[in-house]
Amino acid sequence: MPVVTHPYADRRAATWGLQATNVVRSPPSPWTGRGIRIAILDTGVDLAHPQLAARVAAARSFASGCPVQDVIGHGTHCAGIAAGLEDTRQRRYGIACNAEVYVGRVFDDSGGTTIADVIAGMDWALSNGCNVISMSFGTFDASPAAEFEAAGRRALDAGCLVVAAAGNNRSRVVVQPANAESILAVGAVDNRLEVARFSAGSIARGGGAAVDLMAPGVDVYSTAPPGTYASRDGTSMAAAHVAGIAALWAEAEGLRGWALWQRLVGSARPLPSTSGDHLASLVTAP
Amino acid sequence: MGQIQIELFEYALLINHDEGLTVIFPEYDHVLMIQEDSGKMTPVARGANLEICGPGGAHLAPAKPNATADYRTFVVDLEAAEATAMTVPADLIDPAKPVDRNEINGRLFLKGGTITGKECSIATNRKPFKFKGGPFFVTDTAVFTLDVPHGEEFVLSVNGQPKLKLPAGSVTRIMNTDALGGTPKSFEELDEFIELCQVVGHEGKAPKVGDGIYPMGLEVVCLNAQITTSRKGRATTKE
Repeated sequence: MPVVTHPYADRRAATWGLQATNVVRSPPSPWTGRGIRIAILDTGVDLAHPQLAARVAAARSFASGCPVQDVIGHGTHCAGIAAGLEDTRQRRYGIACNAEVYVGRVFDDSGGTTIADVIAGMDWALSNGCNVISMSFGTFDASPAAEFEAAGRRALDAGCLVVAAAGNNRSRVVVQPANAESILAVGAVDNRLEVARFSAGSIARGGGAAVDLMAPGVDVYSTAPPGTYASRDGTSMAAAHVAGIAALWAEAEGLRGWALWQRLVGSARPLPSTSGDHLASLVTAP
Repeated sequence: MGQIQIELFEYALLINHDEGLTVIFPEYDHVLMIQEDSGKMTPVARGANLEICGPGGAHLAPAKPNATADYRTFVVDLEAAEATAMTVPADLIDPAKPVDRNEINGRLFLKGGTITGKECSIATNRKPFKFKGGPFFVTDTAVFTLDVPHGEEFVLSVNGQPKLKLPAGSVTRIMNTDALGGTPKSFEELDEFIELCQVVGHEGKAPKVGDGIYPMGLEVVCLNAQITTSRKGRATTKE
């Protein structure tokens, strides 16, 4: 990919991330994720958000004593990226705007969770026939966890692709759960398509797992509670982009599980030479 | 009797001493602002001395604020975090001694009242961080409350001049923020802690976020910290 001389920018019609990943293009894409089920395992969702309220097909909390309603905002932001549509000024920020959203709250009000709660959320998503599971979270542990590997494998076998944030850390290592071989690891790029300063990458210091895809993860605009919008940074936001785009590919070509994984990676565009990570590729919509 | 509240938001070192509480706002790519009860924001000139004063700008009597349990829980103690004693330079808490404007955005002198800590405004940081001296919570918000006699109007003075009236019931936020274009901060290590230690001449070690699973949205915290010293500037041992 050539060097990006003019950085992408949020425009009136769409966020920079949707432009960079070809979600918003000319002529307009016919794919909207219709018929595809996306599970967002996160801090819950603002169920009263005008952009999301009607989009949630099912919701369940795995965080003891915590309702699905998002008080942190992280899950609401990720859900908006993956499956929202446009804000009150018709700026499009969401990708699979006709996908069915399954919200599994796995974080408590202080942003804490356990592997067991995450696995329970993954199994719930599979039992609901979800085609994509988006997990915008991670540890700071670069050693893979057998529990995540097994859960990711169960999902692939059931025709479900699990996408996870590769990790925000200065050593650029991919952390759990994204470092499981059965889970697709997503790093973050900025609007120049340079690897974000906080993102895990393909070239980790000291080795370890590599990211499978890059996606927009800096200054990403999406939904926020209560009923509003905000911009956030993180490999979380990048993973949500890939989850939404996976739904578009799943709709467009009927691909599921491992076949969907291969299509996503195979259709990705190499990052420009200035990216700081010449092995990584940018996810691209059909 | 009414009350005024001063919210100390983001990057600050709170020095507890026998005659009051002196809040140091380090620079390190931060900007010191006053947010009035109305929401109006005003920047503060580098190196300024701020003080909560009585009517007309009268100095309050020296008094140590009452510290709540939440203050001890949420506002990390430098010495406990580093597991070592530190010496607070006496000049830091002496309003007559200027500070280096390149290093310190300003100081706030508080007397009497009550100081408490609140949970971090960023929910995902409401868990212990791993410091050299063990696990401790961090926060970006401490709150100073002062009783105000009926009919009296206290003021916030800047460099000895009354700058802002503080009517009973008002909440004034003094914020030392990096949200206005500071350099990027690490997510998993609180580098800002190192600079807080350097305010008192100590080479600190950045704490890391604790074990666990975190949302991977990037939300760094500009933390508060505290240290206790005698009036002469020698750090004291905690109970």
